Amino acid sequence: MSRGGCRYAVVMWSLVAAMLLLAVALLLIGAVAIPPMEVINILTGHASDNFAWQVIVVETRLPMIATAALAGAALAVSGLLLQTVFANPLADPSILGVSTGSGLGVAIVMLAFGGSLGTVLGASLGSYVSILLGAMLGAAVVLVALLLFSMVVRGAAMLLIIGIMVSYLASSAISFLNFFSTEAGVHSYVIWGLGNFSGVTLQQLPLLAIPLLAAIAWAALMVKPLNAMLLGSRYAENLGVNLRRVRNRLLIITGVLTAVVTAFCGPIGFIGLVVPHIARLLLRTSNHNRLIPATILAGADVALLCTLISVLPTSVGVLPINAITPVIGVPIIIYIILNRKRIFYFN
Amino acid sequence: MPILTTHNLSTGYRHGSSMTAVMSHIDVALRRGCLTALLGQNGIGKSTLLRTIAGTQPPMGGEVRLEGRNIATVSRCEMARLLAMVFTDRTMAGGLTVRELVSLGRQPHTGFLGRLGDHDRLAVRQAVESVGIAHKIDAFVAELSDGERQKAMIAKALAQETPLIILDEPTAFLDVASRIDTLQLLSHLAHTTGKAILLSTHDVSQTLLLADELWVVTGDRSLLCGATEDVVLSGAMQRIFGSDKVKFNMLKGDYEVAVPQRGAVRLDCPDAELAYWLRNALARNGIAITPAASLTITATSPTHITVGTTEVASVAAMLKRLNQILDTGY
Repeated sequence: MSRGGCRYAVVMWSLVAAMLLLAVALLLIGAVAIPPMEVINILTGHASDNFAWQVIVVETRLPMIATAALAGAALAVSGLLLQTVFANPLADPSILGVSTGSGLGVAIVMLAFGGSLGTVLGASLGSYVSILLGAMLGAAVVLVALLLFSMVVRGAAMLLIIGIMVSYLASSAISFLNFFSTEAGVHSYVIWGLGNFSGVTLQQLPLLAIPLLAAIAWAALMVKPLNAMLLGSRYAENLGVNLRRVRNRLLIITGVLTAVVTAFCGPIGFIGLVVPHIARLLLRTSNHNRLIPATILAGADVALLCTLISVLPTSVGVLPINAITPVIGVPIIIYIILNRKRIFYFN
Repeated sequence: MPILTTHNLSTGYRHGSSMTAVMSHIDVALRRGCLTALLGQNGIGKSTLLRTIAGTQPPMGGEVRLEGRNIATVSRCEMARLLAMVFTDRTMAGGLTVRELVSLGRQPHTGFLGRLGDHDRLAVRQAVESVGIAHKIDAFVAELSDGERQKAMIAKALAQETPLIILDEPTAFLDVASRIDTLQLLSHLAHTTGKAILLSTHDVSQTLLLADELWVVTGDRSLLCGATEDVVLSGAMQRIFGSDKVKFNMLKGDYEVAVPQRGAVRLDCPDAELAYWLRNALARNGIAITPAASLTITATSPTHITVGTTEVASVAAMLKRLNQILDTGY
């Protein structure tokens, strides 16, 4: 038995337990107080006396829980892949500008459709595909630019700065588009930009879930080359990894994960950055074999926790997700930076 | 039969249609069970040569044959089973255990998901044992010393079970003890496993003691090869640096600074150890030793040295007295 086998089981079961607890809490807590027994009745298929409660649990709370869990897992995995591909512990889709890139893609498509600058949420199923393609194209442009820069630029910090610069460029383009958009469009765009897991309906859920689950499954199959890439590109190539092909595949996966989440939930920061570190610290390993499953669960947990915090001020409404993720993310990142000499996986 | 041969090989870079040749007309061979060392000054093309031989950089001309096959026709996966590389690259492997790191060497032999079988696990264990870090097998790579980390990378190369291992300056960032240890390990591995091992290095004196064969890149970019002593005795070592500032001392097997000569003495010292270090002190101060010199230094112990007629009690005092004589003529 290799080191950490027992720890792995404990961590994974704890993450599953935490996910269940958070999901239960999110079913019970909300703007409308619903008795726990009624929630259980509704979930077990018994019709509730109160039709509104039925609608809230099935049409609002369940999709929100599923969306948060899926989006959190997706962002976390995409952060992990970026950290390994760019050999940079501070890489993540929002810092590197991938989220902003897909945001710009969404904005361009919405404007081209002649409608207001909104999101995939209000759109018909027909325009869903084009909006998602816009998001993916935006993400792809940023990822390819980053890849090209990473070949020229040496050093982890420089690439991050370039990512931040790319992010600024995309933001400036979005501002231009907003300037020429209607007032209602701008408003909905700003709301979208705050991040929101509660906008996806039960009917739209498969559109979110299928591409995300497919991309996460694909990522889980890349464990072998990902581990080889921990040694750097020259070692990976010597181990038989077709680096260009693997890198392209990983960037496609990251692009899909980020673009789909961004199109539905807005550009959500910090989850992709922080969760892979949480998973490494919990498991005490950089081995993707165990890291990917733990990152998936921890990503779902963190997103659910953020959602729970966002619905806690029940009477006032729902807080924007992007107001909460930094509160959780920043302390962890600062802790990691301050302690990087003592944290086992930095050498 | 050699494991690897080059045939009229030229190394260099292509920039679009223009070509920059680094070295040409290279015809060398690597033999099994041999530790071969590649020596040459920085920027002379050692790494380019290693990359070309490893197939990660296309040759400008000629070919490299690995087990009789032109490496241009060997697939990436086959290559990974024929040739293992060790670099000094920074890795992100600190959060892997030594066992996990060395297991990565099994990747060319495992399936799509990289699951390890019994033979794989055995190969990993043996590799870790043969580099002497079995007691650290469950330690994190980040917890290892530089020397141990390099041994772990060598174990990874061993676990790859290739007939050829190439190491690009494996001792570059190590302290003296770890350097000697690593070179000794590589020599031992070459002799006991029958693998061909090629390394580039700047550790001339250790290399000359332990390498079976030398590839010496001279200052004018030609490659001189052969058994270590044959290459050294041919005068190749003096040709590595195309300058007269450093001189290869054939008696020491290392380079030394060529100090402008200020004078000469006759040395009379029966003790070999003492004579060696007195010569060292005199050479550093630009004083040659010739039997015909008028001034004689006699020494029986480090505290009993006579310079001409003056008795001194240390090497420092001897040098002080010599400087006095050279400066004032008296």
